[in-house]
Amino acid sequence: MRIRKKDRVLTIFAAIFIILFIALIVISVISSRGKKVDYSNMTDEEISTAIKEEIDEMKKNDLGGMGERDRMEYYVGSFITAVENKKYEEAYEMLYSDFRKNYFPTFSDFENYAKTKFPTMISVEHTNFERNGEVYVLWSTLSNPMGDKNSSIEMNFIIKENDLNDFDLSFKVF
Amino acid sequence: MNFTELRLKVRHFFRRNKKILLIIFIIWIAIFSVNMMLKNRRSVPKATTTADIHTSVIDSSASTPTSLQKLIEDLIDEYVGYCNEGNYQKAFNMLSEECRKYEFHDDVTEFMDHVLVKMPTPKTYSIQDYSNVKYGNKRLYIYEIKYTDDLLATGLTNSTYAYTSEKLTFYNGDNGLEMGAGNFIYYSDIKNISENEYLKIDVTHKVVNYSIETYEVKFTNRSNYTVVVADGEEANESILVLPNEIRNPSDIMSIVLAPNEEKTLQIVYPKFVDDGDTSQSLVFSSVRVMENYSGVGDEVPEETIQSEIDNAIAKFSMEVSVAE
Repeated sequence: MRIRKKDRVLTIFAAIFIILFIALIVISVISSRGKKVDYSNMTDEEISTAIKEEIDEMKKNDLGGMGERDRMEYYVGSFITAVENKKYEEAYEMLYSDFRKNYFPTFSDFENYAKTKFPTMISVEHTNFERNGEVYVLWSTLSNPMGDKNSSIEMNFIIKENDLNDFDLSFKVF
Repeated sequence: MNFTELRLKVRHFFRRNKKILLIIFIIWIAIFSVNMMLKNRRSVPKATTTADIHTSVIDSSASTPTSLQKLIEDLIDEYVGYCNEGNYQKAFNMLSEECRKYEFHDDVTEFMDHVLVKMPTPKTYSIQDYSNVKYGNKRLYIYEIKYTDDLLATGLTNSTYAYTSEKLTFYNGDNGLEMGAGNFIYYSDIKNISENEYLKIDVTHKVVNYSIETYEVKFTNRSNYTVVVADGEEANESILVLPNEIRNPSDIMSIVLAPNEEKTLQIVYPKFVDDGDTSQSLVFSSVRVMENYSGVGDEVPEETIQSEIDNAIAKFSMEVSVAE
């Protein structure tokens, strides 16, 4: 009789244990599925925001696997691409606030500058890199692959990375 | 064996081993569950950097204790803040008594001159644990501070990448965490003497900066002759002896004592505080007691110099221990 009672207690414990683990698995699977976005009931605007968030997430994952220099070159590349694609507002947003105040107090100041000073097509070569505390300095040469060979511009980019794909940038105004 | 026998055997096996089977099942479920959870866990990517401001550059296995890291950061921030505001007295008061006395001679204007060389205009800064060394029972944390213009705000427009730097030293003293600036590391009393009938050499103390050691040495000529300790005529006239090498002073020294003259000099030797060597002694290897001394230089003929050396009353070497 005692053995039977002992067996029953053991069975109850085992059952509770199994139920708990099954519950954990279910929660884990549901939570991972919950992170996948269901686009079916979304408006166009919501879809666009969700896609943007997902792209940002992917960018962060990519950047997380990169070294410091590669990330800084990526950030500078993002700025250059924005300028090249005439997305001046996007490029302006990347600039450090005090730098903007010092050299481009208004967006149109920057837009005019970017239109006149940067080549229409930009090829970048980064020649040197240094970290100074939280700030990174890149020495770069900008040129127009279709233009005059002597028209290249030596530039410095200064970058501060707040988080992955979250950075402040400034450059040597020429 | 028919089917019924097989069924009974299986049933008997399960009944006999039910506890073991139950434990194996539970372990399997646990492993399966943990595996599932790990598979579904999303790792958050992090920005990896080479920046580790509290790990020594010289010895990457040495770090500042966590309990001191924030204190040091706060002290540096306060110090640079005062310097940027031009509040030199407050910044000066933050320094240890030893640093104020031996590096800046208790003179705030001397300190101000030092700051203005490093920070002629308000600067931003970055810090890095450069080296951790032990002196006596003190552990010294030497940080390198780089001062730059606000690079982000200027983008290096109309300027080039440049910085000034200095070493700030921290240690736990009687008044809590003490700070030294201007590459000052520590002060040490030596008070060792070497003497004979002609000359007494008294090494009173040394001031250790990051890359130099400055010894205060008092020379007393006990004779009625000129005593030449160093005039550049002989090799290794005044050297600092390390376990495996010797160092000559940073500047060519002229130590010539008139009869019965007493002279106190500061002799500077190049030596990094974190090079792993300990200074052993000061050796004055070519002391000459001269009846006639015309000096050295282009205006004095080489034959005269040599003749005076040859006719010296005495020539000897003296060593004073400076080991701590």
